[in-house]
Amino acid sequence: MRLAAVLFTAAAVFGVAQPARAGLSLTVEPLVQELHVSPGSSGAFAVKVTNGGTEAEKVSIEPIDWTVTTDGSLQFRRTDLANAHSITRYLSVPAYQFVLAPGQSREFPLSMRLPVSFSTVPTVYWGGFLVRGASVAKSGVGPAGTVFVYETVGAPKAHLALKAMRVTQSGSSGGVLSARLQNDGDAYARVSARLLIEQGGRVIQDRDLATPTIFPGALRVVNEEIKNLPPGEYRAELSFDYGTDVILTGSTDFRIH
Amino acid sequence: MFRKSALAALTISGAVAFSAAPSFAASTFTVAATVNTIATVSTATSAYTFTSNDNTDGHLPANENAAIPAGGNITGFIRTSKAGTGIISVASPAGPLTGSGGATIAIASLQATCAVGTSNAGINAVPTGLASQLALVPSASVQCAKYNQGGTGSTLAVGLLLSLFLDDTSIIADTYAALSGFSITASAT
Repeated sequence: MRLAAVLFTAAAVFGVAQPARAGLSLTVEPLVQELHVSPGSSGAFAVKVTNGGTEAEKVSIEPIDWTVTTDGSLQFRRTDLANAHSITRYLSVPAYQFVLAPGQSREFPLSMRLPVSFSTVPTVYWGGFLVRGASVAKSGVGPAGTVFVYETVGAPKAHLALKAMRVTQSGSSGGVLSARLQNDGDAYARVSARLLIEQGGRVIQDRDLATPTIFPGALRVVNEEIKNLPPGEYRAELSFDYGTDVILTGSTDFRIH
Repeated sequence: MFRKSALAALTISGAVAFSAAPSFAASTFTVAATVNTIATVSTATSAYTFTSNDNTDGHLPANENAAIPAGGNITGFIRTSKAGTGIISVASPAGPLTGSGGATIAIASLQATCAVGTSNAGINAVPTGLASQLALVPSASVQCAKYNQGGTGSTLAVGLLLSLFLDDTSIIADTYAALSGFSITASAT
């Protein structure tokens, strides 16, 4: 008996094939906005969207909620009404769909109005919009940008704690730094992180680390590969500047065998 | 009340006096700048198609994966604030893909892999957190890559190679129509 050579044929098509150089391009400005709106008040800022491509684009603006996972990955999704820290429901724009010709821009206000009953407890909220461009003529994958909004009520306490830090050897000439941070304050932490590798008191590696916003109560695990370390004794020093008067630091000694 | 996301203000005060000069009034001036976070995303692959001839491949590559330009099929730039992170994500619709015979492919059967293209340029233009056959999520995003402090010193040019894969091990034979609503998204935190 001959087995069917084709068990199934699936042609799953995301869109109609285009030339190698597609003409879709979208610019969104700003990507981030910080607001301090009192309950019962409103605030607004201008958002500019530009079609830098070679064909007309239908622009759609969708409310989203977003978060950063423990490993530092960004994830956004449709509005999550169960999220107590979401302010997306209070955000609005004048038009949620419009068409931009090639080279055309549109600037519009993004507004937030908080109800009088909104909590006055000092803390932070966040939300935003996904601004998506799509070809008017064809379906397919399109360019997009997000506009993330932070709202701070009052003056929430900012505090970050370094809970653990270690370096484990990986291969013959490197290691992996693992650090665990916790935001135990009420404010979000936008962190400038820096890693120094020292040997005999001399800095031999110096780099900035990418670790997106850490929200109140959130844990963040930072894993960073360290390469080009001959056998020897080393010290890893981590520092986190999150906009307060204090720079959080930690260090650990390790050996590469 | 609100404050700008990235407000750089430089105040320069200068009082210059020459001993030989009779009298110069002290002159002062200030310089201020508002620099917004901004990103441009351009896509060079707007369609990914799959042709499956067996049911054994958990990571069937899209036909277009073989023709991605070396510079990247995701190009553009991101400028973040000093403590910000620039992120490129793949956002998906709710799905599923629907076949002409009524079968469906869940969004989670699709996977994204992101690699570094030659178009990456500028300070901090070293993407990290690259996705490797990461399952897409319906009505949500997955992270393709992130850039630390994008645009510090100069604008960060993005060049990423986005490949898509399909887990064909449990999909019913059918011809599935094009599904819209996918996007390559730039963000800053």
